[in-house]
Amino acid sequence: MRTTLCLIAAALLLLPASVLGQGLPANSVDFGGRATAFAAGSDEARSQRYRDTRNGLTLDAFTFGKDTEMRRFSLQADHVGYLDQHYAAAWNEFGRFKVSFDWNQTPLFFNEDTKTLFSTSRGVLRIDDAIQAGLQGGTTTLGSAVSQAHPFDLRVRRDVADFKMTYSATEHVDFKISLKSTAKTGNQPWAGTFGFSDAVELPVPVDTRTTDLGAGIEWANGRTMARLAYDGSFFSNNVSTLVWDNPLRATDSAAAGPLQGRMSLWPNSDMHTGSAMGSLSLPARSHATAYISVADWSQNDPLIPFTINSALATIPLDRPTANADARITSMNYSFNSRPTDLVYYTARYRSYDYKNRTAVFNVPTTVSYDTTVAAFAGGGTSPLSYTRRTFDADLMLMPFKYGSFRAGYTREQVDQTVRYFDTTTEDTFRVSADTTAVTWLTLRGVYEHAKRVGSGFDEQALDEIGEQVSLRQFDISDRTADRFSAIAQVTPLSQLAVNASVSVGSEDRPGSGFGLRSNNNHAYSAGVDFVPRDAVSMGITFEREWYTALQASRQANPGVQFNDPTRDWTTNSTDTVQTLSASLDLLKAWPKTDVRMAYDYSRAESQYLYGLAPNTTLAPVVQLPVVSNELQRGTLDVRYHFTPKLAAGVVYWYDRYIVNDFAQSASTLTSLAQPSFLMMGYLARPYTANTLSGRLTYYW
Amino acid sequence: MSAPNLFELLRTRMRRHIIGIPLRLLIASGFAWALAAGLRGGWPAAAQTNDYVGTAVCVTCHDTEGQSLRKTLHGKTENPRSPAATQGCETCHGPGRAHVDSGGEPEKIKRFTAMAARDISATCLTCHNRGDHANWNGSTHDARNLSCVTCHSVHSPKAAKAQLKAVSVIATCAGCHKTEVAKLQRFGHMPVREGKMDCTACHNPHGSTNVRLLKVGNWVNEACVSCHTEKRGPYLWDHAPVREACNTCHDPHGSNNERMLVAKLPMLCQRCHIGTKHPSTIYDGTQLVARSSRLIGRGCVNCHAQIHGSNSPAGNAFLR
Repeated sequence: MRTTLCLIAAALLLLPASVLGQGLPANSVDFGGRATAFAAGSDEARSQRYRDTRNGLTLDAFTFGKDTEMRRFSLQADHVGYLDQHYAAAWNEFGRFKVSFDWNQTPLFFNEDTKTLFSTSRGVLRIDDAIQAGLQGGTTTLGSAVSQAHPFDLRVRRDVADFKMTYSATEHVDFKISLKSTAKTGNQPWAGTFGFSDAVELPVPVDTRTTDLGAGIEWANGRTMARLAYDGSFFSNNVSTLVWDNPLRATDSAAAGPLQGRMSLWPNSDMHTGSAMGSLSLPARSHATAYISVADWSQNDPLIPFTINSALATIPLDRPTANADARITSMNYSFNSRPTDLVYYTARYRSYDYKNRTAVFNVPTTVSYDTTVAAFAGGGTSPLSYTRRTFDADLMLMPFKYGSFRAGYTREQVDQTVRYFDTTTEDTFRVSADTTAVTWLTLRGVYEHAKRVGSGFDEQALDEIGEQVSLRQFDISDRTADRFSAIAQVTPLSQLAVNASVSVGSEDRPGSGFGLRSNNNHAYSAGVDFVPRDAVSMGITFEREWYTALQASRQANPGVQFNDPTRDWTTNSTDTVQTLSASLDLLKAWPKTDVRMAYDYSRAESQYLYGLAPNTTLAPVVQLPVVSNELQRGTLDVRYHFTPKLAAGVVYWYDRYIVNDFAQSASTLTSLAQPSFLMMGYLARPYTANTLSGRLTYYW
Repeated sequence: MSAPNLFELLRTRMRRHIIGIPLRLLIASGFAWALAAGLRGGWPAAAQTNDYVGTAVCVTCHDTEGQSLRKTLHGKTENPRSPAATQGCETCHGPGRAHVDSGGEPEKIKRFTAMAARDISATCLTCHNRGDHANWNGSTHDARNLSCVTCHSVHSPKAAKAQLKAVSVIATCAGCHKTEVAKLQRFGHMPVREGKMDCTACHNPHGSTNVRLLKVGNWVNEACVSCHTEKRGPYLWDHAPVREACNTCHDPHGSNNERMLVAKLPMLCQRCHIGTKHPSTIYDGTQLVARSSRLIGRGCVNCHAQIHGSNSPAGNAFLR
């Protein structure tokens, strides 16, 4: 399939055409410059959400490699000096060792025109005392105070350094070591609330590092494999607590709220996993595999007090640290055999046991919003444990060597604590047909029918959290699901390929009085790829998808309303998506010139329609506007080869994004000060960007 | 324990036991069948040394293939695990004596374009049976009759890495997984279309110990928290569906919603929280005009920021 996303075309641009089909890319480097022009009012941050397209000189797509009979060495550098830079190095001493190092930097640019009243110092966010005093005293309003908000870039950066080494001690034995360090820094959208009329959007500081360490030994010959491995992961957060000012208060009060709020952020945590795996080829083309791993996840961060509000009575902590720990045991056993050319069957048993060994943290009394002390009906934490056991079996018949028919069955049983079903059991039956390896035709189709049933229903679990007892949470509710998908590709000529696919799915939850009752999806696609000759290729693919869901609720307060069916309502949600991808490559169609063009289009519309009971006592609803997103991207790349070693080219990118989202639009959020909400101005806005790059490429 | 509860418990256990019997029988009979077939069939016979003719003979007719192989890792004689260091072309294509002696009859040698999918894979697995490939047999792709050469080409790859037949990993996967690839273009997405990751960042198409061919860990969440480590916990206060499966609320391939949520907030939360007070309220156009903090901005997480779990003692409602 040649019809691809623009990103694939973009990735290709990084490669000299001559390298494709070879073992190692040719040495090359791009020098040039780039300029991006945004249309007025464009959301430049969203345009550069995971990339950096700023104006400036560029050093890009540096590739250097050396390949001999003894070893292979390669260096790569992309987007040098920009926020999305990437560097890689690899050394492969054939049959002896392999070493690789990768440095990958990924920006996550949320917003560039966010504003806040808070000044940040690590985990402490402060507002000018005068503003707080003015708001508490009623001498100013939030609406006027936000004029003092200062702008800032809301962004996070992820830096990943990844080192891997494999040492081949003998022809059959490998030692493997890996070390990865991931740092995340910046600020991301967050929230701190002091009650229903005092929500605050915050730029929470992010300063974390995860260190992953892996070590293993693997032995294999042609028939047998055995592996022992250790994986450790250590997460550390340099900002473990967030303290932020209450904009509406200058002093602590037991009745009117606190001066500030406090919460724990992501705790430091460790993971240790030991695993063993073995596989064995048996006679009659049979194969058995066994895998077991035991992991320990733990964190023991100090616990903060229930509240920072000095006007409230101190509630003693049940223990000073979290002392949270989970033991995870996983097992996987599989067996497959092809005793004759006609039959292939597989069987697999999988077990995943997440045992939360954290002791209950007793909470007879708690504090809401750092404002209110109240008895906590739950009495304490409810550590969740669950065990998933899955059995899979498939029988495949291959009456001809170019295809197979399969019938399969899966049974998954999940035992869980805390939730309203002790156990859910899902039986899935499937059949599929796959015709492959015929040069002119590929057909694949699969149908699945699944039924999930819960047992050990605990009505009290719903009662305790104040829910309707006919609510069924959709991830564990009784469910019947059907799914069919098929894909066909016809290649009547070696230059022409036509493909089409269809996918239909439905889920019905007959036992759900409230909650998600059903959801359905349909998707259709069609595409054509045409390669009349080596120098010319083109393709186009179109896909249309529909998703619908129906959920039910009851608008009620405790008391009479709780059991009043005239207060029932439903939400009918519909998502429709259209995606188009097209590409045209003209390589040396003109002397010494390569031209590549690509275009991607995606438009999605989401609608949430409310419905009321026929005899409703609720007020008439006003339907919400449709949410829509439209993304377009066009790429044109022209490269002229002066000599086999030197080429010059220009690349043009056209990016256009149109969004209408009532919840985050500039027309809805016209001010940082909303009736019950102090915001940062993190909006969803459109953008149009035109990027032009000029470059010289040198090959050696 | 009251009598009805005891009865229910007994009934549940009996039902599980009864259902378990056919499963165990099926597993046992499978193993028995394989063992019997194995005893009858035995190991495949090893080729005799004089059946091989050597690479030098092969390239007299197949020079193009020989040239292409030399540029790849398969052609490195210094690597004792490579085909070049063992029987050369015949490591994969089998002994060529009969093919040569017959004057080049195609049927006298292993041709991958004319072999059944599992015969092709079995050939590759004689060497590639470790590391990322150790779980191929019985994997999702194996069960759908894919073979190694469905995606890879030994002699004429188009990608710079992994000898793929398509120009990239995403183009390879897009051949079948069209909807998932289309989702990469959505509003909420991971940095795939920006080139910072590809399908293999999360998936191992060769099989895995995890579900859905996820590369890391043994369950969906383990794959997700391998990058989103801050959400690993365990927390003092767990949000049950979060602890069980991240994809209950998120679509990792992309969605029309912020944070790749499967539905907009507050509608997504209202699929499970419909109790009294604000979770049960219709957040319609009237609430939009009133700028309700449960509807505008980031919806429910405008307040319930710690929705993935809280380590604050007062974090029972994920507000702290």
